[in-house]
Amino acid sequence: MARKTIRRLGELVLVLLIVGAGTFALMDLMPGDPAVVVLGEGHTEQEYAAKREEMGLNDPISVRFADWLASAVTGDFGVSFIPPHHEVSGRIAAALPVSVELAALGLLMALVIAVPLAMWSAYHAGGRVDRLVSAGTFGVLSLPSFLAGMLLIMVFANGLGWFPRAEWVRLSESVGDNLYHAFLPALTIALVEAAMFTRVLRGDLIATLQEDYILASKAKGMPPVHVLVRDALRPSSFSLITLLGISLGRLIGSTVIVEYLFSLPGMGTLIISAADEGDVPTVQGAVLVIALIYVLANALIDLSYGYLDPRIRRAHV
Amino acid sequence: MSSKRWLRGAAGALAVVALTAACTSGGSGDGQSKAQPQATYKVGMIGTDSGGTPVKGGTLTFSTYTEAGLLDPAQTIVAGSTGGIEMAAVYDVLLRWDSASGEVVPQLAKDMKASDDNKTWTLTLREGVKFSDGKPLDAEAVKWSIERYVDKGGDDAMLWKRNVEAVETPDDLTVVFKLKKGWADFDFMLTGGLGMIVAKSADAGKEFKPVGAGAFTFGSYKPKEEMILNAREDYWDGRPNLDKIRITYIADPNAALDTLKSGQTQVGFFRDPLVVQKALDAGYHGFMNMVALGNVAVINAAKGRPGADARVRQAMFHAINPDVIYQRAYSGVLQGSSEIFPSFSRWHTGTKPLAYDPDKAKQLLEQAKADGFDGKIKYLDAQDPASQATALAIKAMLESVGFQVELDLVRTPTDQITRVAAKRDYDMSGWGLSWREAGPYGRMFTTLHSEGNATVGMATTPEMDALIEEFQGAATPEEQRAVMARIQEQWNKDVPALVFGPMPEFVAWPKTVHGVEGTVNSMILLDDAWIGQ
Repeated sequence: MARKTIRRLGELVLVLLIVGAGTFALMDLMPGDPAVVVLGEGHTEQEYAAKREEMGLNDPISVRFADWLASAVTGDFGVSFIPPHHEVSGRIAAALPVSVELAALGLLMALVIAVPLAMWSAYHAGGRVDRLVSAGTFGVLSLPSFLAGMLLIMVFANGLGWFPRAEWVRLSESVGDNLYHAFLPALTIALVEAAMFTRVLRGDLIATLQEDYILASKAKGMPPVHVLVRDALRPSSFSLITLLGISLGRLIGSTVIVEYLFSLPGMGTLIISAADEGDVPTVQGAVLVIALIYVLANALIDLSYGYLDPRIRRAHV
Repeated sequence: MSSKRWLRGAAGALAVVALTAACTSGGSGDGQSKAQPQATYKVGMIGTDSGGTPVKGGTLTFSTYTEAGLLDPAQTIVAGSTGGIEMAAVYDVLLRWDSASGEVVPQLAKDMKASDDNKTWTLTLREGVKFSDGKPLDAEAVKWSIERYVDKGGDDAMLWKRNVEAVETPDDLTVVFKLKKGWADFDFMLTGGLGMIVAKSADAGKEFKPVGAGAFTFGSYKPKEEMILNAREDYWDGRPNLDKIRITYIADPNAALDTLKSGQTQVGFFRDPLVVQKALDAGYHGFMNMVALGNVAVINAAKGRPGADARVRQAMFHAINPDVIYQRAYSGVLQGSSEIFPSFSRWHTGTKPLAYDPDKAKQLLEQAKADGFDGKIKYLDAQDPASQATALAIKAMLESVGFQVELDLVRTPTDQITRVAAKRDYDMSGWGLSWREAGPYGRMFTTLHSEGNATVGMATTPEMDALIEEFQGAATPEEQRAVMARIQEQWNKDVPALVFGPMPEFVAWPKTVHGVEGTVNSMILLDDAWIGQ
């Protein structure tokens, strides 16, 4: 187990190095001049050239990457090109909790919706409710998240006025207000994720319910809830947990549309606005942090398999 | 059978909901075929303030789409869309432009007077005005702040250096500006960034701290989230009615309008013509600014570029019908115009621009082709829906008279600025020259005078230079308008850019918000604002 953990950590470092180098190279290839971003328009070519020199942009890319990496490993991603030139790590520290909370709440809502639905569908596979759930999940999966968000806004914010249309309140300021502002965006995320989880878990549960030990459990007279929750759910959760890990990493950086629709100050907004403004250090730092979360989440998921199935744990002893 | 009915019902319901949502979505890219009524656009206040006894207290939440994290007038473009409203609240302005009279009137300063030849301007300060750090706002403080602005290269710094010979402070309450030549509109310079007086203590620490003599003080700033400004007890004109101003950043203009309608915000800044129209239709009061030359295509006249030949530039101008562009890009909610200052403006002279005349365009193009021009031109613009629609309309109209147009749509505004302003690597590009209704001289000089720093490669001529300088020296508005008419005539000859029309900027608020004053560059002043029932 320890060997496996060390190997996973090594892979993690390698992945981060590749992501960091890739992002750095891509940002370098992007059109747009960082000197123009910093100085703005209306300056002479000499002034732009001097700024490029000052920013070290005339150094070879390998030198610049090495400098950046040396700082990045200490958590220093430099300062934003955009006034008031805040430290990138500070901007990430402000945006990350928003995205993490949104992703976590969205996934939690998705699980609350998906697990009972999947269990019901699997237990009554082929029945009317199962077919309705299948059709419903297909429908939701085919619904783009921007459309789902707009529908929720139209009904619950603009129509009924139950939830705010935009903005964000920090958890540290007010838990109630925070949840009130987070509910609709999280639900927008949850809808698609719930549909995906339901389909995956339903399929695995149907397979598990064919196992002999389930038959034995039923033969012993165990009620359906016991069979489903105690006997079938845990061994059917591998795909769901894998999906959960991938979703967590993916959602933290890719809730751009939801963040835009609801004007939320998360990582998606940070990266997109930084890319639009040509704020290279912010994009590089934010992408690296998301990659770190992504690989960490997936490493933890891999390690959790051993807990879920003792056979896997023993195989690595 | 019954389950099939269920499925059909569910699918039908989903389709109806999706269709409804699609029909109600907004934004620049939607509704291209919608027929919208023409709005009555004007510069100035929209709606009448019903007045009443000011209500003390409350927080006014103002939504804007761009954030100015650094409230330093020397390092930020001072306009309503880029933090100007926040900065005016913190620093106040020495003078303000009154949109009703078109005059510059005192605000933080007591008075501003010109000598007969407009070469010496005397600014008189109010007694007892203090910065929020307790230090007096005296003549030395004004001089220091202006010098700081010029040293840091603020937006109007070059114009200032070119025109101001000396700044003298004969006593604590008097500042004398000695100009190199007469300038009748010099007072406009103190309505923007130069008129926002920064306290010395703002630069005392490692980082800039916004300290001014305005009605509010800087409270806090959370990037992409909000900025809080707090009322100042010792403001020279008495404590403001509002307790706080909260600035929130909402990028989607439709969402910003929704939050205004829901009462979540009390003031919104809009510049998307479709959303401006929606706000006007909804009956909001507000302050409207029409930005002349806000929507143009600049033409690179550098040697070797197609635009180096004046006939090619004129052919392009004759080939473009601006109404088609506004119809395609903004569903026709606003009328296009080839005039520098269309009819809404006090600078409108009636002098005709080059007409939309495809036959004339073909003729000029043939002449240029006979002299070796291959007819090929690249058009550069951004990728947002309005820019894409504009680019396609331009391509269609230019190709109909014989040009071959290649579109080059770049991903971000930064890419476009780099190509146009820094590298001048373009033939023709979508752009905004933004000549200001309040005082157009500054932008006229920077964008069209051969010594301007924002000409971006457009054709500049000694004749236009002379007219711009003549406009600066004109002593009365009548004289200025006469020169403006000749500038339009010269524009028709030089064709530095294709003119599509103005762009609106609307700061909107409901009838319950009172006491707001509009000023230059779409900025509003909130020192007397209050929220009623």
